[in-house]
Amino acid sequence: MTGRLPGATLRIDPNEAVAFTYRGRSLRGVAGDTLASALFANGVRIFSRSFKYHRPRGLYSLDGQSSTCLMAVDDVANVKAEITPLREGMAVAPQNVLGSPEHDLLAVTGWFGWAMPPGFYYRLFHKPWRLWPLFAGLLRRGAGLGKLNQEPPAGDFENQFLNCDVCVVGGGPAGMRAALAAAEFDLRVVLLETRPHLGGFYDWRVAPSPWGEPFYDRGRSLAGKVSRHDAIRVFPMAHLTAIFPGNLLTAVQTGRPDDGFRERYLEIRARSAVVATGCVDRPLLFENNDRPGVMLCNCAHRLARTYGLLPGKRAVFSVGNDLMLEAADDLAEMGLEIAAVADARTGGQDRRLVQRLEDRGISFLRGWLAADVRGRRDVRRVRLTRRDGRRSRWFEADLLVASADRAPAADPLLMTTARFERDRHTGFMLPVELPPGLHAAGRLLAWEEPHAIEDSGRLAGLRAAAECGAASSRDAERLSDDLRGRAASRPGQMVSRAPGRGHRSFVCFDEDVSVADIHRVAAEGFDNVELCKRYSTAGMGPSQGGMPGHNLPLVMAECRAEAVGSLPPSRVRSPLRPTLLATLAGKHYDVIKQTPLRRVQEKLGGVFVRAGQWERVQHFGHDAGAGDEIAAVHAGVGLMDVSTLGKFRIAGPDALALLQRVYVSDLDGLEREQLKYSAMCNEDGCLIDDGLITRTGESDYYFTTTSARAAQTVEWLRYHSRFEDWDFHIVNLTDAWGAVSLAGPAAHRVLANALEKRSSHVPPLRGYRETRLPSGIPVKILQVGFVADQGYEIHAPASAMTDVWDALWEAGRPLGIRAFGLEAQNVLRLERGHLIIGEDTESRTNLLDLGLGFLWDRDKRGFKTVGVPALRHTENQPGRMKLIGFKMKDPASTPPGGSIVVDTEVRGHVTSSRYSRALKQSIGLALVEEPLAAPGSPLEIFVGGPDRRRLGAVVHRGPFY
Amino acid sequence: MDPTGGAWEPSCIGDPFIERQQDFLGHKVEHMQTYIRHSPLRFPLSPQKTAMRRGWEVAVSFPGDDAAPLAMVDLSHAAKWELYGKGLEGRRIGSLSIPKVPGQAIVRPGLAVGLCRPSTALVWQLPGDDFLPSFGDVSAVDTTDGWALLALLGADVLRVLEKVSDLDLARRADERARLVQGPVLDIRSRVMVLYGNGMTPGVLLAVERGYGQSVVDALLDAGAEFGLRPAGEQRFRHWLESGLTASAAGRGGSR
Amino acid sequence: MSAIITCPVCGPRNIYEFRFGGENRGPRPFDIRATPEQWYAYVHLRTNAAGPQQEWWYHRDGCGTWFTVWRDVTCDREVAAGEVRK
Repeated sequence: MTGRLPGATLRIDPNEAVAFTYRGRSLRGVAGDTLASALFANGVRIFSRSFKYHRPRGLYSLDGQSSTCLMAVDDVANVKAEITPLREGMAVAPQNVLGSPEHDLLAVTGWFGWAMPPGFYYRLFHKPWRLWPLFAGLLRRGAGLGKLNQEPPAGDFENQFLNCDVCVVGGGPAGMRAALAAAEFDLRVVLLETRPHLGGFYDWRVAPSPWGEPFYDRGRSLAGKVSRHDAIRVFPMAHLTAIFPGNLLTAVQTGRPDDGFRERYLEIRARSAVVATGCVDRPLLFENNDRPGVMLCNCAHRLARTYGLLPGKRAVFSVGNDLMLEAADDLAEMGLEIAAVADARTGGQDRRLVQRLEDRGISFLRGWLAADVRGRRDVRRVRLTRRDGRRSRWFEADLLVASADRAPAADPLLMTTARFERDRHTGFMLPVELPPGLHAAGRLLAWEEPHAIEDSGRLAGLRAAAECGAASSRDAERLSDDLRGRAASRPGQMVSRAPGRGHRSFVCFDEDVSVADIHRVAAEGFDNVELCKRYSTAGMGPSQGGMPGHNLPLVMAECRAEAVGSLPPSRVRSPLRPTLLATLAGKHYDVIKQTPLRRVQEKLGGVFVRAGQWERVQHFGHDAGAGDEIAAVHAGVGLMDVSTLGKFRIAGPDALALLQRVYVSDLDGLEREQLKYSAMCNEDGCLIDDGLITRTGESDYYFTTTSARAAQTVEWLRYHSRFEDWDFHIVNLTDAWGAVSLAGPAAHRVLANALEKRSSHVPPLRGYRETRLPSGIPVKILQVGFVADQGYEIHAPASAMTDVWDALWEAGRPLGIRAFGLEAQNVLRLERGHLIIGEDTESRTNLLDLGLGFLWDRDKRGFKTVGVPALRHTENQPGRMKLIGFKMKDPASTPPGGSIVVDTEVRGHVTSSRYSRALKQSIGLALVEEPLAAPGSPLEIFVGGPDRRRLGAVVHRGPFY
Repeated sequence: MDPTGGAWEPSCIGDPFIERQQDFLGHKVEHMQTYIRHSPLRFPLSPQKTAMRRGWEVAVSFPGDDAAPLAMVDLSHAAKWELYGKGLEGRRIGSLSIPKVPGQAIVRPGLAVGLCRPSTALVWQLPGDDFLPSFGDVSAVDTTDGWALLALLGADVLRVLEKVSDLDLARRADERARLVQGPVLDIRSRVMVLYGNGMTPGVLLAVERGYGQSVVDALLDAGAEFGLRPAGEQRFRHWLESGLTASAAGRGGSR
Repeated sequence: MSAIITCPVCGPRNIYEFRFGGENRGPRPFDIRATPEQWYAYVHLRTNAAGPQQEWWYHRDGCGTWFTVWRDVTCDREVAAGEVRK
């Protein structure tokens, strides 16, 4: 239906059409297509324009190794067309063009390429510096990749955390054998493969394997075994982004059309890992090597065998190893007319393959390679030249299939602490020492012969299994010996280009860096691979060094007139593939805490805010100033949800000793039903927590902490007893018990009414009672005075909290009870001169600075009380900041929190401030230098913003209200 | 264990529902309960059948919940205790056996026990059997209301959890149940995984009560692709009973 | 981000589950009286050894145990388990 070639190796279903649009045009691909193969099938040859010179670019690899395939898909920029599965209804557009990719108006920049060497804008446009913003604007309009969509991308982004024994990276023959070997021991195996199918370089080859059946058959039968194995989990289209120490592997998996996710972030914790990522084609460098119509050998072959598309009509091949000769022969078999095959090697070819090409009447040129391509937007003519450049021939062709040789895809290993050495024979960087728990296998170790590739995979699998506790098998020894005896691979083909200056021979497609650019950069002194990379930006584009990484060190060696292969590649870092931030973020569930009174307060019109982990009510109704709520507590009674307060039970023979250690007060002799207010300090004497403590049994205590400290209290107590052999048991009851604060002049009456016949159980000042409401709900009642003289906290089991609220509400209804929230609480406590830890204190304010020294029992000894030595040292220390209250001279002006207190210099800052309607006066708390802290001292507070001015205030001692 | 070693009062602070124990004032419990206890969790679906269980209104079933491939059951009403005592490990307390090693769990009809850390165990009274455990001289704190407890039942349960937690919950050797304390959805959780032999896997997930609703919402979203749906207590009972029977048949008796 | 800490109760876990409690400097050597120098040495001085050090970790997201491990700070790897504590 779509004119695809038939074949047993196809990975598409030609009978199932998939509709999509490109530049608004409706096109059709087939099931199994990538975006790139579908566009190619529809005759699209120019995929994009390059970053700097706007050169036309087409299909070059099929693995997303360069920016040539970046497109905008459904308004998401920089989608790699080559590795993105085609989905029904996709809207695709080219990017980085003005007009169309075929007629890009910005292509004029290419004419001035000579004027734009690497780093040119830093050098040319920095003077005069005033004009830089103008230049920057112009440059940025022309350069750049794609247009950022400000909307969150559509589709589901997920996370998956995998735990396994062995993680295998790469689903080729070596990777599959490694996975199968490890799975024999019933270990959990995870296999990551970047392509949609397992099989690696077997997958599209019809040539017979040493086992008799064609390679693709062998690949598919191995893939079948892997997929059917219960112990192996296969993740196709999963691109490894990093291997971290401790064998934490991260990968990004692209969702296929029928997957529930668009992209998935995988985090894999493996006890052992095998890297079998195989090889990629190393690009050959020649003039106009980026023209649409030039492609890697592997790309041309797969296009035909995997997607059923002939890559061109009349082709020239410039290759560097036997696999590529096999590809040429196979493509000729499929109907591609081949004008010539040049092989950069001067000898050592598989004679049978050469013979087959010659039998087809294809001229075979030993020791020749591509040197130049002509054609404005496509390939018209190709010049082949001898290695020494002395002889050349032109060929008419619309396709140039060119690769220098294979190169190991060793990036995952290069980012670890593995030690590499350059193998002179093959030119490969080979790992000679791997970190513990990491193994390598297959073609990236330069194995070439299929038996050796598979055996090295199996060996790595067995070794990984042994690390996970599997019985070491004699197999491993045998395989290891066998491999040592295997024939060495054929020598690598090190030549990367024909002689010439290479102005238009691009080493890095992403950043338009040519061979000539590298030479220029080296001449300027950046003749080290790392420096050259940073200065020329070669390898710093979306391919992250993947493609240019192999040629850059070779070209640099040429610049330095050193032996080819003398330089190591540049350092590899994560992520190995560019990744959407949305993918890294994954599915971020916002997990928050709600109090048991959530629904009750919703009904009352509560406006919720995030306070730490909790959602709490800021105020009820529309009045953000909470005027009525405050008035109710002043004049009648108010009810507030304080379930977020930390609530703890600590019991055991040594419970008291521990409390004595962390609280500054002396808790010895604390009686039942008696409540003690105290504070915890850190070793610096700084206040970290305050709360109420009561004794509920022989050595049984109940205490509260601030909401913010609730989650760290158990940790704190255990930390400060870690050297003691103390017997105690602490339980965090914060969530188990809800709490409300009942406050105001009528609080006692409301509580007594609610308790009915137990009204005598209302505790006295600083008292604590345990009793029951008439309905039977057990409650703990604590007399407190944080927001009003008369106030009670009522604690009750969380599951019964709504009934407690209702009971108090009913009892308070005749007295005009109102619910109040954080804003009202803030004003009320400020009027009473109470501080909030973390708001009115900072990391340097100690107990004494806050005027809370009365909590510290100086005579308490023998408990190593936390913070006490520091309190003793700072008691008379000059130069400390003190917390003071202040009233504004102009009662109506309120300086915002954070405003600075000044005279000739900064003397402190405002920590809290509010206008009190009850007092008709702005009040606040501030941390100021000690000399300014005396009651009655005048203060000047600087208020910034549009009307900058200084406001007068007076230091006030004690409660305001 | 030396029973006098922990010379402090065993008590059950705050639980008004244990008839054979004292309440926190030291009086015998004699009150009639006239209020309803509320679970912190709400499912986006109304139950088909509800029942009262010791003061809680409990969803017995949801429409069609026995067909859901993956079920989420609210067990927040299950009574929960934290037990503390030196030398608790491996002890038998009445009908309770405390596991020997932290992370071990023992599940029987109506009861799950796990050792959290040395000297500290948790006991969850699961639906299925209404007897009340007695803790003898071991100090027990009622933490029923402190935790939202969820059961997740079905073949793909670990697949759902692997989307929200990096904890390794897979079965080791032929263990029956395990208690894992660690982060789920980045919050501290207690996860009891039940494997059994020939048993559909199930997970009991306890998170601090306040987080409960958020966790339910997140899990229902993460589990949607596996068909996770709210289910009633009945489904849990069936699962536990049939699972324990199958497991016992497979490997003689409970551990 | 990839480091592992081995909790004596729960086993090896992601380092994110833990709170770092600093180098093990032993129990506080004084009660409520100390010279400023003694206090400063205990509260604020650290050995900063380049290599293995014994340090405290708290299994915050797990069992709530404080324990020590020997960790080589130069490669962020545990080298030995420490003494188990509260």
